[in-house]
Amino acid sequence: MLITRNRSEMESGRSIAAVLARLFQVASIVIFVVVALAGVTMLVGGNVAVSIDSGGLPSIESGRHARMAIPISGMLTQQGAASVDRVRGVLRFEDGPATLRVANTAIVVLLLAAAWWILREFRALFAALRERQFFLPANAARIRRVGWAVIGGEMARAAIVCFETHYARDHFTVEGLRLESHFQINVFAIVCGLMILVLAEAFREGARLQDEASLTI
Amino acid sequence: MAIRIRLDRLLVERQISLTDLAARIGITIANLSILKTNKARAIRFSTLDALCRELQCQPGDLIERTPEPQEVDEG
Repeated sequence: MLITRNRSEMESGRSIAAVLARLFQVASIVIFVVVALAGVTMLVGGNVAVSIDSGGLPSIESGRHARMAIPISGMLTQQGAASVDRVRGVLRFEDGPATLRVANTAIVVLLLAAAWWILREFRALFAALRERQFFLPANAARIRRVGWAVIGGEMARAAIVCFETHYARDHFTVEGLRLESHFQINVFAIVCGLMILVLAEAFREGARLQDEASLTI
Repeated sequence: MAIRIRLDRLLVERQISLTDLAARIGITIANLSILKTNKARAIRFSTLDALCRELQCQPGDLIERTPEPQEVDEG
């Protein structure tokens, strides 16, 4: 009875890993297709707008009404009895400066490339888990890379928002709003990255123990 | 590693094949081969006990320590 249950739990874990591996594979293909389609649309002269929202997340829009967007942050110039501390949002415009368009496109392409790479790492990790190969040095290295990517990604996100809000402050004016730039790191994301690095160390030690156990006769 | 398993010597002395020994002590030929070629990292007491029982020897007959070659300082 116990053996049957353990076997069914193992099969269930295996199928979850298989589903996640497939999911990450599909997601990485979707990113690749979106970037390829955006590139082709640009080449044939279509309207493609690359945007970064107030949280630093990239998006690509296409169509007649697609407009590029950059994050802004600011203070209301007129405050009432109850004051608004900080306003955040995106500034959309039809045809921004060429330098900003190029910079935004480069940033979005880099972010999507990073996301694609992380998804591939996850796919490889879950594919190994599907084959019940948990404690491999390669898995530990993959988890470590994902941990560093989470930390680096959060720093990059904060830097991008800072750069874009700084650009908006220097080049645009919004009535009733005093634009400011800000650099704000999400501590939770950094802690998550550090936890993933700790997990990677656990996997590395597990791989070492497994290697030792496999050569213990 | 400085610790060596002298399984090959004992097998010759006892005139037992690796396959026979593996069958007698209940471990795979692949694992016994790892032991014989000194690729093993560790040996369980239960394996050592089974080997000593079948080869009619003491652990000291099976395991020996060879001094590692000294590093020559060419400076």
